Amino acid sequence: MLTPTNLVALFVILAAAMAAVIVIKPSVIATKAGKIFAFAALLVIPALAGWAGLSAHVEKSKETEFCLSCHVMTPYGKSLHIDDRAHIPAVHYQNHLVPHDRACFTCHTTYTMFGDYNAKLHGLRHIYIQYIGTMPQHIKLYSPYNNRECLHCHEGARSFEEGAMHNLDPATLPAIKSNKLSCVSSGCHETVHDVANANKQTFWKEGAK
Amino acid sequence: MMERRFRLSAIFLLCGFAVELATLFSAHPAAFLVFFGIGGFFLAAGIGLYLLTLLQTLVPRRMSQ
Repeated sequence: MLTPTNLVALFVILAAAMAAVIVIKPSVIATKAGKIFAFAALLVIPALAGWAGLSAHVEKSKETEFCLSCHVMTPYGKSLHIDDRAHIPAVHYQNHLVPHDRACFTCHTTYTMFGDYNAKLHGLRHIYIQYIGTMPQHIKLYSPYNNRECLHCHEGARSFEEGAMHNLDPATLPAIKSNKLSCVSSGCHETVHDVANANKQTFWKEGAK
Repeated sequence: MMERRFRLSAIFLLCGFAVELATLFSAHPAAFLVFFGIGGFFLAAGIGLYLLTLLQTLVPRRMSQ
């Protein structure tokens, strides 16, 4: 199948074949055409192949499998299967409100101009901590969860705009939209990745029916 | 001399491409680290050596003209 990763792999194989020509027969650079070939094989194509590889890895780092491959993230992955509608990440994951293969990234990126880059910079820090640094006792967000991330999908949706609790007080909806009242405040959608009590929960078995 | 350096540059690049291909299909932080650290080093070394060789051969030629 011709996936983007497969395309990158094909391009890398082509780049390797071009570099191999110079390894096997370096005398090709003696002619003018050979010099142009060397320019492509040793500069332009490798730079593009490197960039394509980096992009492919950045895309892969958005996958749920990538996030959950670190041992410390296992309970958070497990919490996506909690069989309780009060658990916000679980409801989103189980009902395909977020893509299954990008469940973590969809909610944990920031929907701003450089949000993806910020998320990736945080990701680099996580990789450093995973392999070199010290793992913190309790994992917490860098800053309180911003409603902007929820509103990216929910703003304008009937279930959100006309939700009974959202309209109980006319000041509630504007307060949510301006991030003055957090979506995950106590009494609202407060149960998010409750890993501490996960062993008391029942779990949804994916594909059981 | 130039041919030898270009050949070395191509060898570095081949090592970089091998690392890139080996890590490309894995969705694991270690694969990213290996690609970025080892693959990136080989790719940068190959491209850098090629550019350095070009500079060293082109600049003296210009100076003598």
